[in-house]
Amino acid sequence: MSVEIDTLTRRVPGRHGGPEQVLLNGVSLSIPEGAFVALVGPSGAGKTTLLRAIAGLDTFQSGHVLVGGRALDTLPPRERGVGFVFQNYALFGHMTVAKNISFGLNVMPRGQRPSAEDINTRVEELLALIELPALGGAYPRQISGGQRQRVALARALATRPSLLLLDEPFGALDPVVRRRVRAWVRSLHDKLGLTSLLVTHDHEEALDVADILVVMQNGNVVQTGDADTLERFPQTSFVMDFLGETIRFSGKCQNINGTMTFLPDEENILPFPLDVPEGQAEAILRPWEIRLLAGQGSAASRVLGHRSGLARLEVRLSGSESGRVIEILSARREDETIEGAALDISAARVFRDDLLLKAPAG
Amino acid sequence: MSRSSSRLSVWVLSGLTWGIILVMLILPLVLIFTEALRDGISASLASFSDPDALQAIRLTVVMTILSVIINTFCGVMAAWALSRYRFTGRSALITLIELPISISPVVAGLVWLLLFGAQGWWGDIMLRLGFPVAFAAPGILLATLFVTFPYVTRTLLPLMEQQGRISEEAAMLLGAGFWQILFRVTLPEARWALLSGILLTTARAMGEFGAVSVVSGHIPGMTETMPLHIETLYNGYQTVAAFSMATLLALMAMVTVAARSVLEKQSGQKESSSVTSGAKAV
Repeated sequence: MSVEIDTLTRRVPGRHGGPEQVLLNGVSLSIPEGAFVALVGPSGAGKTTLLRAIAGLDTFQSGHVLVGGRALDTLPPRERGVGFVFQNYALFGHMTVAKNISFGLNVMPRGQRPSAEDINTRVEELLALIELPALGGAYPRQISGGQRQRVALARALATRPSLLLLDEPFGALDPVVRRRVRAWVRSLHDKLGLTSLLVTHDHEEALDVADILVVMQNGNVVQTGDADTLERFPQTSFVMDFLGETIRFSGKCQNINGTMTFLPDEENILPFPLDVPEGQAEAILRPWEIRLLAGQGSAASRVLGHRSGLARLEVRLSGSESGRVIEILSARREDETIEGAALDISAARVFRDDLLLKAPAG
Repeated sequence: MSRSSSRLSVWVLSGLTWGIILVMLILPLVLIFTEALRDGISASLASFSDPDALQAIRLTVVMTILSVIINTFCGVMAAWALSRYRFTGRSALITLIELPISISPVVAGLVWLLLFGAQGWWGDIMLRLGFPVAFAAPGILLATLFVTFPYVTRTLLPLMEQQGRISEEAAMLLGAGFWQILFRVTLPEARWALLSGILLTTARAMGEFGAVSVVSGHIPGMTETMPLHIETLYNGYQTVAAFSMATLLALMAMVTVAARSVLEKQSGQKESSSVTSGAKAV
């Protein structure tokens, strides 16, 4: 089901009589039916608050939440029919896995509740879906973290919600299990035709699993888009920083011989043409987007190690000892022994006052 | 050398502890039993056939059951409200709930007498309504309720605080209503603490003397509970009957305390095993 968030604002009184805190600052968001959306951002950005507001667990002062075109503003959580998976699973410790899964069916009003037989069939179905067919009789404390995670998902899906909300669901899993479970969640989303909303502070997880990323900061949505758009056209330097490692070069834009050019402040960095108004600017790029050009300057590099088949190079920007030292990644073997190099940073996204000025075409 | 001396000190300490327990706790119990059986078991049993004795037992059982039911309900609601919501006066409320533990039961009894006695504020009205409180069963119930009020809340509150709201939120989102959440999630998850609180309430309600003594008027065959009846019998030199009744009361209390420690042991094992297996699983 599609989700519309319309200028949602949530404020809470400050702790210990401090100033009022704005957790959501007029957030608007439109999620098409069937999308897998990741809400990303540092802690305190308002991601979980937004998710809880959609579920009805937290109230808000103004704005609207529409799911499938229907306003949910005053609807109590139990009537919203959304599936919710908590960070630490929140399984009921005194119930078996099967009873946990069937909870949502067992608490239905008598008229709507399926028969005991139908409930059993549904539980069997879900246990098969989460690939734990033999664990119906186990208690949550007897199974592993990854298994609990899947049980929590099955429990959320038992009543066939079309909207699934996931609050940092993979946070407590080790990296290998984590990758496997998130791939499985994504396949489940496609198989069941769900609309899913995932909260995570891990950008790699978000890039891996989601169609659309919503980057949040201080209670605001900074940018919404797919992974490629966010990488190529980050609206603010924060988005660029958040989605991966960055290296920054400050400089200014000037008209040189009739061509607008970015002139870096530091030596051994090559200027590049940039069609923007004159003034101060900041070029930001990823460590693997910097190219070393041999014999064009006096920057020196040495190999620190390797990562994912790329060489990690330490580059001293100026010949003198006082120069800045940066770390770049290079796939080219010849870079490892380079002498007297200059740096080509023309792949950079250029920002002024933290807002994107220009991104390279293509 | 040091090892043998430390072993010696362990022996001395545990010996002392056992000595104190023997003299202070076990000896009095044995004494009560032997006094009760002094004229043989039939004499002891015969003392229970006295109508006043039967009435005392009946009254104690009824009062205990009623107070346990009422205070369990109120205690659960209080613990739930205190653990789930932050409101002004919350800490004051926690202190107030504990008040009956620190206040002398006699004072508590006097309060009820002051309110509902013949010269009390509301005594006249209640009497005219045909519902006397002082020197009657309702007064005894009020006094017992007051004295046993804190126990369920005090045992539940720390556990519910620790559990937090998350299970309840999960249940809510799965479509459960207030009572379904309470009976299917919150209370089952806190069941050991709840049982412990109920048993403490039971033991305390059965044995309450001070508050009940003041408010009940001590009328044999009418408002005397077991502890009051024991005192009456003893003062009337009916030693065998007094000690027989005391034995019965002691046995009832011992059963509840034993039940509590058995349950605590079970829950302790459960918690620890769940913690270790949980740690392993993660």
